[in-house]
Amino acid sequence: MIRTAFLRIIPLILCGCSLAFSAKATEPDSIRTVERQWLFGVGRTNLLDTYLSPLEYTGPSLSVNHRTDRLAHFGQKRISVISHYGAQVARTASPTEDAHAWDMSVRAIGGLVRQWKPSDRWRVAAGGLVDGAVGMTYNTRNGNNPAQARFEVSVDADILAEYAFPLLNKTARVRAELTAPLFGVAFTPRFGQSYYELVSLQLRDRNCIFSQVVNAPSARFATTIDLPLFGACVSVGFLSDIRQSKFHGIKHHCWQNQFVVGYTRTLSICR
Amino acid sequence: MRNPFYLLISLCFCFVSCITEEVAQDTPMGNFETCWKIFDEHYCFFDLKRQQTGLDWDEVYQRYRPMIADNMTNMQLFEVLGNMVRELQDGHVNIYAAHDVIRYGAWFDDYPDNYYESLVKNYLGRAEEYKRASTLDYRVLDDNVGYIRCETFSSLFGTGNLEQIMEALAGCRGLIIDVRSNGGGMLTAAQRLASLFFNEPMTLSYICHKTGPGHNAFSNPEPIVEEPFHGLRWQKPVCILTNRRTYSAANSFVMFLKGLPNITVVGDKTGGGAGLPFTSELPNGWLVRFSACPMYDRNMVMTEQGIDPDIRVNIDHSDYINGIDTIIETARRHITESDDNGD
Repeated sequence: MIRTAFLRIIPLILCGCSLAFSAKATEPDSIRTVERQWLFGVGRTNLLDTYLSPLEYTGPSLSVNHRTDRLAHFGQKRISVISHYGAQVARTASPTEDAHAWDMSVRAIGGLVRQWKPSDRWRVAAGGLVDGAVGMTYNTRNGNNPAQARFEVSVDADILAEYAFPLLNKTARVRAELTAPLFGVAFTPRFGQSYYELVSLQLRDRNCIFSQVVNAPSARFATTIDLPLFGACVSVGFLSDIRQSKFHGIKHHCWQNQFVVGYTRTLSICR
Repeated sequence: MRNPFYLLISLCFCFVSCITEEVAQDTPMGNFETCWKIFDEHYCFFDLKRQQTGLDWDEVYQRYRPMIADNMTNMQLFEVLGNMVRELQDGHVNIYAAHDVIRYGAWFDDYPDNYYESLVKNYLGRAEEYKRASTLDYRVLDDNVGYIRCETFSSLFGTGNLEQIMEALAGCRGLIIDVRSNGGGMLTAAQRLASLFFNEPMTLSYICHKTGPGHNAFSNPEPIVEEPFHGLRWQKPVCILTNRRTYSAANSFVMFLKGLPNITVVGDKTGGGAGLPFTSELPNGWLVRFSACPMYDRNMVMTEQGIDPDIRVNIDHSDYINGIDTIIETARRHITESDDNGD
C-alpha cells in the first residue's frame, strides 16, 4: 500500500509543478522533445545486511530501467523533467555458498533539472529529484530474521552530461548521469528488533529515520552510448548503483554493477 | 563554485564512503572471533546468565581463545565452539554444521521425560478414533473431559480449525491441553490458541529487543496484547500439561495463560526458552542461532528458566507399566473435582 501511494504521489507532484508553471508559459508553437529510454541490465551484486548476516553475499543480478527526459513547458527551454522507473532482482550466495539471499527493489525517481548547452554537441544539466524505493532482502536459511524490508524516500542531487558526435552520417551520443541522495527518510528495524514485533504486534521503535549522506552514502551512475542502428537508436552502457546505509547499527550495502542494453526513442512535439 | 549546487554535490561526495562489515577470515581463529562477537553483540540474556550461573562472556573468550590453533580440524573447532556456547546454558543456542548440531540439552536431559507417546495413544485411541485439526489432535475422554494434544506450534491454526474443535468439545466438563514435549514454533500460533481462553483483550506478556551491541542495550518492554477469539470461547476449567520439553513458543503459551481463572498448569516445570531466536553465520558457513528478544510474563517475570506448574506431578513408574499417564489422570481428577465443586 505504501508503495502504491508513493507511486501515485510522484506523478501528482510532477503534474502539479508542471501545471503551476505552465500557466505562465508564453511560448506557443514551439517544438519540444521527449526522450524515452528502456535499459535492461545484467551484472553482479555485492550484498551485505548485518541484520541477516555479517557476511557479504555476491551473485548475478538483473534490472530493467525506464527513463524519460522531456523539456518542460516552462523555463524557456532551460528546464527538463526527468523521471526514472526501475526494478532489480539479485540472487546472491554466501562466500561458502551454504546460504542464498534474494534481493529485490523497485525505484521511482522524478524531478527537474536545469540544463545548459555550451555548444551544439554538449548538453549538461543539474537539478533535484525526488526518489522513492521499496525493496527487501530474503535470506533462505535464517529463522526469525529471514528478511529485511526497505523503504526510503529521499531528495537527490542529479547531474548529467551528454555529448553528440557524428557517426556514419548520423548522430550518436554519449550520456552520463550521476544521482546521489542528499537527505530523506528511511525505514529500518532497530538493531535487534524482530519483524514479529514490527508486523505481528505492530510495535514501533524509531523505525523511521532521517537519512543523509553520512548514514546513507549512496549513488547511482549510468553511462550509455546511443548508436543509430537500422533506423532505431540502440543504447548500450554501464550502470553502477551503490546503495548503502548504517541505521541503528545495522549495516547495509547493495553494490550493483551491470552492463545495460536497450533503446532510446526521441519524440518531437509541436505545440 | 559560484553555483551553490556544485558546492553541495562536492560536499556530498566528500562524505561518501563504503559501508562494510569487518569479518574475520575463514580460519579457525577467524571463525572463533566471529562466533564470540555475534553472541557478544546480539545475545540477550547475559545479565540473567551472570546472575544465575556466574557467566562472564569476556572471561569465556579468554579461556577458549588459547584452545584455537591454525592447524586444528573442523571437528576440533566445532567441539571448542560447541563447548564455548554451551556455557550460555540456553536451548535456543545452536551451531549448525553439515555433520552435527551443537545444542544444550541439560534443561530436559537431567529430568524425567514425563511424556510417552505410547501412553498418550492409550487416551487418543486409534487413528480413526480421534480427530485432527491442523496440528491439533483431539477427542472426548470417557469422563466427558476434552483432550487436545498439541505437539507443535510450527504452523498457524486457522479460525475454522479452532471453531470446529470448540464446537466438538463444547459439551465437555473441562479441557486438557497437552503441550508436553512441544518444542515451540510460531508465537502467533501460541497466541491464537491462547485466545480461546479469555473474553477481553488481554496483555499476555511483554517483549523487548536489543537497541545496540551493548549487553544492556534494550528497548522498553512493550506489551503483547491479544484479542479474544471471535468464535466460541472456552469458559470451563482448563488443565495445561507440561514437562521439561515444553519449550520456546510452547513455554510462551503456558506463560500467556498461567494465572488466569480456570487455568491450571499440571505436570513438570517447563523448559523455558523465553528469548525469540535469531540466526547468523560464521565465515565457514556454519549457522549460528541465539536468543535475541527477551520476553516476560504479564507480571514482568522472566521465564527463560521455565515455568513452575500449579500441580507438580511426574509419571509414576507403576502407572507407566499399567499404561496410565499419571499427568493426564491428575488433570482429569482436577477437572472432575472442580466441576463437582461447581467452580
